[in-house]
Amino acid sequence: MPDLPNPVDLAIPGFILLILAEMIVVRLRDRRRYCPRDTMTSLGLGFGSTIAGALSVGLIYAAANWLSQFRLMSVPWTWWAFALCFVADDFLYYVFHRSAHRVRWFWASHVIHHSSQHYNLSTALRQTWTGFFSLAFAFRLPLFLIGFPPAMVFFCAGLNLIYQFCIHTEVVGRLPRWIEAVMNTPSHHRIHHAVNPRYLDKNYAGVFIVWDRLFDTFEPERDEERPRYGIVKQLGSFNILWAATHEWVGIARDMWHAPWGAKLGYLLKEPGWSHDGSRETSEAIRRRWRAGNNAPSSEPSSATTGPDHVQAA
Amino acid sequence: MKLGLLLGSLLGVLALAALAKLIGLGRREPLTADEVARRLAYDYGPLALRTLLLSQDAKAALAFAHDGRVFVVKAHGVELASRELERPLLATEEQDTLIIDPRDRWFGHVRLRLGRAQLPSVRAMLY
Repeated sequence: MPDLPNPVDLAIPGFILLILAEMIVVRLRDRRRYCPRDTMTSLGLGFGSTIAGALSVGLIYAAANWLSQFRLMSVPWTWWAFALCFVADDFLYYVFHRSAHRVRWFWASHVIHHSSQHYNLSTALRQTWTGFFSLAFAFRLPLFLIGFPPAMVFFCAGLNLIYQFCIHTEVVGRLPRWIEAVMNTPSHHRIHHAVNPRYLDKNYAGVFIVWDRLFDTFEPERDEERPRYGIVKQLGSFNILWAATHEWVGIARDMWHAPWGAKLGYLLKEPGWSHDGSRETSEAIRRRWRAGNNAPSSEPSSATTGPDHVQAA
Repeated sequence: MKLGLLLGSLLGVLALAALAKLIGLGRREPLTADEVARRLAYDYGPLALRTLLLSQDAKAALAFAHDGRVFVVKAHGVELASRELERPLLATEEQDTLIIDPRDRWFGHVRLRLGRAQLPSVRAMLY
């Protein structure tokens, strides 16, 4: 068995250099696309996530190796096995990622990544601290049961993560059509981070956008509707601890106050679900928008929203 | 993970954050009524706003809708963040400044510098 390096560790200097390059481009084009405090929060969350990952990686490796005892076959260390593993891992990433947006338990861990109102390479590093606690790693377990060696799976997962880092940017517009058709691109992933009703909860892909096209969760970026980033109820805080834990706190509060029959719903149903219908899920937001009761999601005219009186003292 | 890599990452993070500030990224223009109205429409759907109060420092605003709802908007870095206020509204005054408590600890209190002359009329709208 080859001793594979962790590709993410090797990529860290590249991450820093690319962020540096993006900052310079943004400075020349539109300096509002980066915000120092937001960047600091993203990078701090990324640093904390690295520590959380280092603390849990041993346990995940041990679980993967233990589960490998029960594998259906032994996948060999060949180039095609790597390719197959990469594609299979990316498919399971799609399943995980879709669940991470549709089940509040997983969302509580994943929401950190979406909590920035900006979309740049530093946002990519805004990663969860509670992934191990939320059992997100369970989505990869089928690969070990099939017989892919754990080291191969983790290597492919690392490459997947590096690819995804690169698409968190507004600096790149659209890529050639054949790339946009198959691969997840900056354009596709901007939609995933958007809160416009049309774009909400779309494009879950990691590397290959074909999963979204296959499972009807694809939405293309439209020139006439610029994405607005973040979460439906923006945090309004740069506090790192709050960004990392706010949804867990929200779940705990909701479960505490909910009637007995509804408590599990706040854990297992989709974000925005409430037992009394007082909140909106992303589907409900989209329905309301489609019904024409919502604001045009691009640029609402001030004629419909503007105040009768503005008092600027 | 190697300690060197961890420390290197930490240094990289701090250097990037410092650089972002140094080269002037993220400087925001003063808040405008249009920007506030647009943000509220994004967040809450179409609103017929009755009155919009902009803070003198152009960092926050208080908006009253015709349907009785009240919203507070604050500059949050380069972007804006808003909250719909629950009744009874929680607000205190400090000289010429109205301090709104949106009942959200992490969103924080929002300070609106309105001027002493304006405070009585705002008070009347609030309560």
